Amino acid sequence: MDTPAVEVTGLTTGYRNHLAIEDITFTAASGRLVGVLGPNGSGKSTILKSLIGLLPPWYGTVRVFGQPPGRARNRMGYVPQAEEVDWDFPVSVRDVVAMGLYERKLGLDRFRRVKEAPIIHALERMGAAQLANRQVGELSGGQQRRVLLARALVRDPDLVLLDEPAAGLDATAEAELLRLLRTMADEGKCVMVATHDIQGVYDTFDDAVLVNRHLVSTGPVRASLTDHSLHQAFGRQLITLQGIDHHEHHVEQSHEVRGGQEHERTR
Amino acid sequence: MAEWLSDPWQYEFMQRALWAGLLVSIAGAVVGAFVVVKGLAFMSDAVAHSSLAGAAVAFVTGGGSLAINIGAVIAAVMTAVSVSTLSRTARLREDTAIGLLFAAFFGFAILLISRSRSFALDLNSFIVGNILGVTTEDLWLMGALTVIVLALTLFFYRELLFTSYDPVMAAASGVPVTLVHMGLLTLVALAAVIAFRLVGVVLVMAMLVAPAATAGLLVRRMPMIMLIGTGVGVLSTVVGLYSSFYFDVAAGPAIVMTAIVAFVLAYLLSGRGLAIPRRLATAVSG
Repeated sequence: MDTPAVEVTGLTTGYRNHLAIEDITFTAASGRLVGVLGPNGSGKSTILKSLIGLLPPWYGTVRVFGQPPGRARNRMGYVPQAEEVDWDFPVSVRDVVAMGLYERKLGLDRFRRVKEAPIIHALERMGAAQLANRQVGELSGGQQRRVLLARALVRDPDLVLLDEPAAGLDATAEAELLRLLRTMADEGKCVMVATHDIQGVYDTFDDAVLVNRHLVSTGPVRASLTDHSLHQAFGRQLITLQGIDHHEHHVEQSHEVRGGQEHERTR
Repeated sequence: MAEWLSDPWQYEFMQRALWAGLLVSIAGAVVGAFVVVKGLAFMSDAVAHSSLAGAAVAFVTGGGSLAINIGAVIAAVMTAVSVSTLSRTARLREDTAIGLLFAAFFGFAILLISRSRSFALDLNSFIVGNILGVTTEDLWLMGALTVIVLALTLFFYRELLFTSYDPVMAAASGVPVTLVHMGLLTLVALAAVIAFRLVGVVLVMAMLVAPAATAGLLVRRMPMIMLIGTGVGVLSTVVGLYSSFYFDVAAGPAIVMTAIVAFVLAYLLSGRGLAIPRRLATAVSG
């Protein structure tokens, strides 16, 4: 069998002294659209950052196409959350997309002009070729997202990681984005999307990695996203999203609170 | 009129001052473009003040002009690197680290200077600059430092731009962001040392911030900001030198005030002065 695009085993990591995720294990295959799902603060972004090599594992291993993330850089494209980007910065769309082609080299060939073709191609694919010379600060939210996507795709990566790509997009733009992600998966890429929005997950994704700091479940969506597992991952937040039985949850919640108080008292 | 314009440049000290102003304008605008977009103004100020410590050590130990300048560069680079290291390892906010090191180096400099009577005379030129006293030797040194700043910026332009714009993504793409950040702070240090002969440590920040900020109002590309910023710097130097020559005011502050006036004009001309009320109105009306 082929090497999976992503293979994460017993991954525990975090930021400085702060533990973010614990003992996460999953695989993701090429040609699949994979949702990394969980409530806010559940460690979705942390997982993506580990895959791209921004966060070294404290325990466990991360393999991308069978290699440590640092060696698979050229095969990955990453779309950060839009609010992590400085949109006031004086750069053009072309400059930003060109950054996706960055290669570490110290020779004089670094002065060679950046190739235009892949930049234009990536922008065309996003339907944003006409934006090439615009300043990033002049763009609308949807256009900004397309530019970040173009930057991630400019090297034609085999693994595409997107962090909350639909946040702030209107319904049309979101549908367009999902169509594009589906196309990329059908082309044989592994596309991983971190999102807390679980509406329509069964139709959107092939596989899921459901987390809440720990791994809750993983596998094909229908098998891994059950009422039970979703409830386990999302708890109270799920009620507003899906309208799952209010009563049952309420009872469980008050139970927890009471337990907590008892715990306090015995201490 | 022609005489009025050409008179000042008959004096060699005025010519040297103009050359010095040109060098400061180039280094100031190139590094200043990053200072402005990255919000490193306070850092630049601290680095400039700290450079005094190195200059003082060189002076007290009997060094000449070259040694004083090299001392200033060393102290400035030490500050830049210490800020970066301290903020990462001691888990301090960067501006806290800057405040601490600023005080430490500047305090140490004043301490040394207070022990040495003769240096007190020179202290004034360090604080407010002494552009009319720039020697040919100073010019060569400033020129060499400017060439170093330009070469480093040009060679690592892609890394500097990428790291400044999006450090997370830059790190993910294999850019050594911590190293690049330290390098940028070192460039700030070098530019500060180039500039302090002209306007003094107190006003160095003005030469790093004002021309680039002015350019940033008029153009929206980094290379253009650097170019227009250099122009603003040169213009400020020329106007400042004329003011100094004819109105008998200190040249450094005159240059700085000209640069500030240029900023205000650009602010008004770029329409942003008008755009803000308009934007507020849109925000209110929804």
